[in-house]
Amino acid sequence: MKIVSLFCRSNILQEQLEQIRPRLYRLAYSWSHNAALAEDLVQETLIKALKNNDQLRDAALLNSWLFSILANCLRDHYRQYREMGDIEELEDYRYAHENTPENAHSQTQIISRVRDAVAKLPLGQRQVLTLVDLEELSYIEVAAILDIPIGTVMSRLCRARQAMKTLLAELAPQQATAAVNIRRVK
Amino acid sequence: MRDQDISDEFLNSFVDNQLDPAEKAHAFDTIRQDEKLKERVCELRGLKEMMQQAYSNPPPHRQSPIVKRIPSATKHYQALAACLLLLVGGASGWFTHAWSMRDNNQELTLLQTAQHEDVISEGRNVIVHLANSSPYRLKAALDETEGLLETYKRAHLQLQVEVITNKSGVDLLRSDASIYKQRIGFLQEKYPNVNFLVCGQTLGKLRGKGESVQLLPHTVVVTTAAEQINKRLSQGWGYVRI
Repeated sequence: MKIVSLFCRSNILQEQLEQIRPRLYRLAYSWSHNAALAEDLVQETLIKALKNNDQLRDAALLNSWLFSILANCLRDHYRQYREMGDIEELEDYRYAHENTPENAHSQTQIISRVRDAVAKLPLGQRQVLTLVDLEELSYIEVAAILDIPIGTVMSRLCRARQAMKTLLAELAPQQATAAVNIRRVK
Repeated sequence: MRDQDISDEFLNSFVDNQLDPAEKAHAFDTIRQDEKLKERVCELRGLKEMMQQAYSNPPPHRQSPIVKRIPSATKHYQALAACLLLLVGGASGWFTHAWSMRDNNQELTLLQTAQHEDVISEGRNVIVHLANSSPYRLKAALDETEGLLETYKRAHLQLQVEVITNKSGVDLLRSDASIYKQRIGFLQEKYPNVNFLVCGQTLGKLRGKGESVQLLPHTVVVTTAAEQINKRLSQGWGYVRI
């Protein structure tokens, strides 16, 4: 009967994974700012979750468990990148951030500016900020997911928000300068 | 308490609703009486809202299905019965073989790895995933695959193996880069139940960079490695990452 219950549990888990997948992708994207990499990380997370579903002791902790796997996948990705000197992902990043006319236009938009500012934060600050702001997790949950002390969560969050204020001010469109170049011709 | 006495950490905790009720009530009173504090709180709340807005609709990327549903309870029982039969047969084959070959380190390593990965107990189909071109891993991938194929062959058990490569792991199957061309050819000839697959997304990236990638004969190109692995996992295959 245990094996049968395992099958049922696996089925329920699959449904839950389907539901949470968009949130995982949003988080992965906010950490990497690379759609292809974010999708790979989500895939990797889901494969690991399915493979190790017996490690999840409490179903209520599913989300935190998945976020934790996602954080580990990202850490493994960067570690592998350092070890192998693989420039593939760097090129992907550059490709995704090329200055196209559309991109240049959207730079003036608030969404682009916030994303650009987040992308400039150190990874540790970026992860804490997005887990608190996007997933609205408590500081204790974030500490458990990233396996860091709660004091570190608070200090990283504080530094991240201070940096965001500065970066958003720097990235704001320079309207005053542009106004000087406009002359009225009669 | 004045504006400069309130730390940023405290205000963050207030905005993120991390204070206990008493602290929160006290914070409300203090903030109400201080214009500068109000500004700081508004700024933090604005920042939080901007974050939520910025990622409310991230750029889409083509998704592959995670897993398909397990069709019905009857099929569960059929699959269960098949697995149990296979488990008994497979385990006896493994142990007999391991005993007869106990001086052979390669076979013992394979046995330990396979048992560790719980491959045998999960089914008779295995997908071996290689995403790395380190010579050690390339060799390990082939050693594991060959050991598995040979063991099942001797035990007269059915087995299907797919070796899937992506990222730098595709080097294994490139005719212009692989150091194991002959060995792979030999494996394909000896074991018709093994297939070698390459991730189409990785190939696209390499070709996009101007590389002329030539693959070994009989190599199959799939859309993406992740999609193929998901497909096989949903079909009940065992998964081994090298």
